[in-house]
Amino acid sequence: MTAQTKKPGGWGAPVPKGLSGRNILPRTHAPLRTFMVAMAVMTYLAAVAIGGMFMTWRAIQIWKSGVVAEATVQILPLSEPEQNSGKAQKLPATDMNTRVQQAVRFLEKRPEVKSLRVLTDRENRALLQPWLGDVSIMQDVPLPRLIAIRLNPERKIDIAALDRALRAAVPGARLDAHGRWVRALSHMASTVFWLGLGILAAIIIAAVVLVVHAARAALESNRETIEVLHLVGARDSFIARQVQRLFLRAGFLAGMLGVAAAWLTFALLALLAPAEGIREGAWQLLFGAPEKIAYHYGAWLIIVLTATTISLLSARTAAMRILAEMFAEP
Amino acid sequence: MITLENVGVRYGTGPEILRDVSFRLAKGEMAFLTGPSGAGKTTLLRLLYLALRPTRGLIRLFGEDVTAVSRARLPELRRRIGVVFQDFRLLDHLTTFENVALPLHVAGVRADEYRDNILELLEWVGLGDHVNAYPRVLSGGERQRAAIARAIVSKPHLLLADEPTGNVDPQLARRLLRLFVELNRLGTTVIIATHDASLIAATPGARVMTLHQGRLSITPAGEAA
Ligand SMILES: Nc1ncnc2c1ncn2[C@@H]1O[C@H](COP(=O)(O)OP(=O)(O)O)[C@@H](O)[C@H]1O
Ligand SMILES: [Mg+2]
Repeated sequence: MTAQTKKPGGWGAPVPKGLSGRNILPRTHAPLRTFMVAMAVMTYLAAVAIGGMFMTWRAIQIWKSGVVAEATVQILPLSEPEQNSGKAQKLPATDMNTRVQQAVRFLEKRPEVKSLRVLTDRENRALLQPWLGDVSIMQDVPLPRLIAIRLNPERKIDIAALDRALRAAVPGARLDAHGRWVRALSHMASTVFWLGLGILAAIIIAAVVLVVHAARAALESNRETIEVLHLVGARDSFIARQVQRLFLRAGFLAGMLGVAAAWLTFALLALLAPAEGIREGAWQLLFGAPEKIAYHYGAWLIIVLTATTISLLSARTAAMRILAEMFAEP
Repeated sequence: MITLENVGVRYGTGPEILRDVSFRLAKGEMAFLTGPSGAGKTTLLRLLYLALRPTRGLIRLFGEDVTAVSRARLPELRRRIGVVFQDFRLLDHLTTFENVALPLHVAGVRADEYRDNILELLEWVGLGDHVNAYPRVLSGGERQRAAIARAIVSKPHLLLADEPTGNVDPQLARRLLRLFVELNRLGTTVIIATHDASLIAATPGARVMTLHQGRLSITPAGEAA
């Protein structure tokens, strides 16, 4: 009686499927579980770092657009010789109030300027207080007068040209376009970017170490099984494939878990953060305009894929190396 | 097929377990390896299935010097060798069917191509009712037959069996011996390590190699006791 005529494996037993879908390395649960927890923490950190980076960027953009739209005109008090110089005589408006009015008229005609406001003497002194202390004792010391202007955001503005024209029209006047602040904010943005990149690189290195360590543990706890596999003709690459398959799955799950936890963290921030700016930033990060959040979710997806790829490739290369080392003698 | 010249083995710094072992086995020959327990039968077989390198001497397998063969080459050589281990070495987490399929699976053969063969083979060794059973629930004799099925499933060029009838009754032992003889008739070189004199007596065409205190003596073909 042959197997074809008799039902294999006794009555009702299922026809055996073969080994393709089977985990051939049995003792991998403990090392894989440890690996998954640590890898999930790694991806959590990476996803939080990236989310934080996006939030910081957005805040910087908002500050920058505010700062860019503003400028200050200073009318400096003229020193004695300057007041008496030919230039000053040609333009008789040496008096501070006159020059302020001159500047206001000049600025109002410029299309770059959307609106302006002359700061009062009080505001002026309040602004200087941090540097000069109690200014009331220096009532008579001449101070520069300030005009705050909002620039027209629709136009591309040549600040330098505006400044030159202003200086020519009003003696002692000059335009401060807050370029310093814009540059400082740009530096901050790029610092945040490189810092974030550094953090991600550190996390990736740690993740690779993690995979290598876990792969070694998985192989060592299956030494006897691997010996048998070798003896029946398995190549190292076959065993490495078994290992990488386990790590592929674990890495993917860990990545999903870590990113999901990061998402929850930002969701909690969006709902519960004490600072309004943080709530708003976290909300925009998760639920903002689709064309914006596409980048955020895209970045998180890349983290999951990176975690999976690192797990797969590191497990494979580590397994090949560790097998050669563990079984150096036949 | 197999050539050993002045092969010596010691484990670590211990005494020489095999001393100046030399023999030749042509393709298609059948041989028994016998000798008292601890004589070194398993050690000699381990040399032949490439699980152990000799301390000295030369071993040629399939026309290739295997004393200095690289790791990368081992799988290909091992795929031509079937081994019945004295302690079976079945994988506990795989079923009988899966254990037997292992040599084919690691060589990349698909389940569709081997399923029927394995079911037939399991039927032949009397494990038709234990296809999906795990080794833990099998008796010693059943495990032994599973180990034999795994060793011969890929129709190896060389079959090495380490006391393959140690756990079965005489009747089944004869049946399994017939399996080896049949395999040998189809061209496989067979070496069986055994204590069982009746097995040797039942196979008149086989050579008998006897290990004693690490040295090997051989009776030529046709002169078996
Ligand atoms: N891994 C080992 N390390 C040290 N000694 C061993 C090892 N394997 C076997 N031996 C020793 O080698 C001798 C031969 O053993 P073995 O080859 O198993 O003999 P047999 O199979 O004929 O019973 C025994 O004395 C045994 O103790
Ligand atoms: Mg033995």
